[in-house]
Amino acid sequence: MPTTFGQFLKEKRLALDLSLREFARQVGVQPSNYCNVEADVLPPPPAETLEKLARALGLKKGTSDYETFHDLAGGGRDEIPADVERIVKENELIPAMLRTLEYEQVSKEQLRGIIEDLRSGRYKKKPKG
Amino acid sequence: MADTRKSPKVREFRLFELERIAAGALAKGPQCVRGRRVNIERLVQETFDLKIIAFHELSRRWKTYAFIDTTGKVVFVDADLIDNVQLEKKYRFTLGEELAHLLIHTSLFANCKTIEQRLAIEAELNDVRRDRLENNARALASAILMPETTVRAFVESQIQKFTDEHGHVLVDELASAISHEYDVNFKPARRRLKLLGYHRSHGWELDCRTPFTASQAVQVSSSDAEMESFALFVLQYVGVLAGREDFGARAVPARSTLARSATPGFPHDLLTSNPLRPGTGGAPFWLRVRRAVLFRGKRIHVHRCSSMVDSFFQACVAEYRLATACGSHYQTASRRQRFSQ
Repeated sequence: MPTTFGQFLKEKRLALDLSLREFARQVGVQPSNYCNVEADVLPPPPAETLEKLARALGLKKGTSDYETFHDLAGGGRDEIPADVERIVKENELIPAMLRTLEYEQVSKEQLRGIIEDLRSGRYKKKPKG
Repeated sequence: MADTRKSPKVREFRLFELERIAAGALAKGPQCVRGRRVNIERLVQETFDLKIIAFHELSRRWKTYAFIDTTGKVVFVDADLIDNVQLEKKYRFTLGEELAHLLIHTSLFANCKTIEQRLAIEAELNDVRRDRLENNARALASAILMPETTVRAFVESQIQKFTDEHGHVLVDELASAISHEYDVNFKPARRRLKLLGYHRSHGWELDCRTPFTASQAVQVSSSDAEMESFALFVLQYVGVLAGREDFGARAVPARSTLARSATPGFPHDLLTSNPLRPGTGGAPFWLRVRRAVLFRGKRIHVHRCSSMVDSFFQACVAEYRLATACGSHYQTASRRQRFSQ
């Protein structure tokens, strides 16, 4: 299990059988810089490049790999993961929900239950007609 | 006070040892070999779990393209090698050399974490040892990037294409093809061919299709019995060339007798002096071979290859293969005739 963003990138890139240079060219970044991100010498790139990286690695939104990717990137930059930041900015109700969770002192166990409930598919939009 | 530190020792690896190490390294990462091309970057990163770090202006500042921290398992590579697509082949070979240092020079570079420490270790070495260090690494990198078995198979399959109307092998053209197939530069490809015995020797016409180098002579066969029979054959062959078909198993003839009786065209030096250590007056080469057969059974110890010894072994192996293929019809006289032409 990769513990750093660089290790995660390297593992996923090698699984696609791409060289450092081939992959960097696909994403549109300088190979030597990308190499140092993989080596954890440079911090993870900004959000825009992160999305390009995720796309090139074939990571789909909602998958655990996609979440790990952003979590590790956020940890590497000591910031809130880029995808979470985007979600918070796009939906004005998310901050309200986060505050409510805080005020109501919802435990970790309860939070897990809520996440499982949300993932059960009950709240999915049903097709019209 | 004078510096009393001794220059660290660097062992000279023989070719067959390096081939074995290279084969072992490749066997650890079979997924890194696709067709003939070895994905050295993957081998380094995945199989040997080394980190590659791009180092800007490494070659300009330190006059080296890469160095390895064997303890931290990090390879620092000049950023230009990684960025510049024109330098792909050089990048691959450089990674190969650093991997080679990890495989065979770990003790020398132990605790070497910075470029300054690495350069300090190299500075302590005398010229001979520094050359040896680089030669070992270069030869092992070549053996990893151009594995012996596939190179030999490639040469055998392409030899017709690269032979001129006089039957001479166009070694440079062959090296170009190897360079293209294996994604390495021309120079290492040419050197690799030479190391594997594919080169035209000076003044001694040889069949390039049955190449052999002295250090590989020990590997003519995996069977002990055949190895012994090859060693005896080498002795008889020396005898035939010297016009003394009885020697080898019998008494040692005087050097002067040998010098007089040797077939014209045959390098007398091989019989009367030790071409491996010219000017030292050591035992003649054939005597070393004889000793090897009589006392060590099957091992022929050749310390350093010279082109003459290389050629000699190439001829021996070609003749030996012919002899074993022809069985009892193989005539010693025809051998002498062929090589005196």
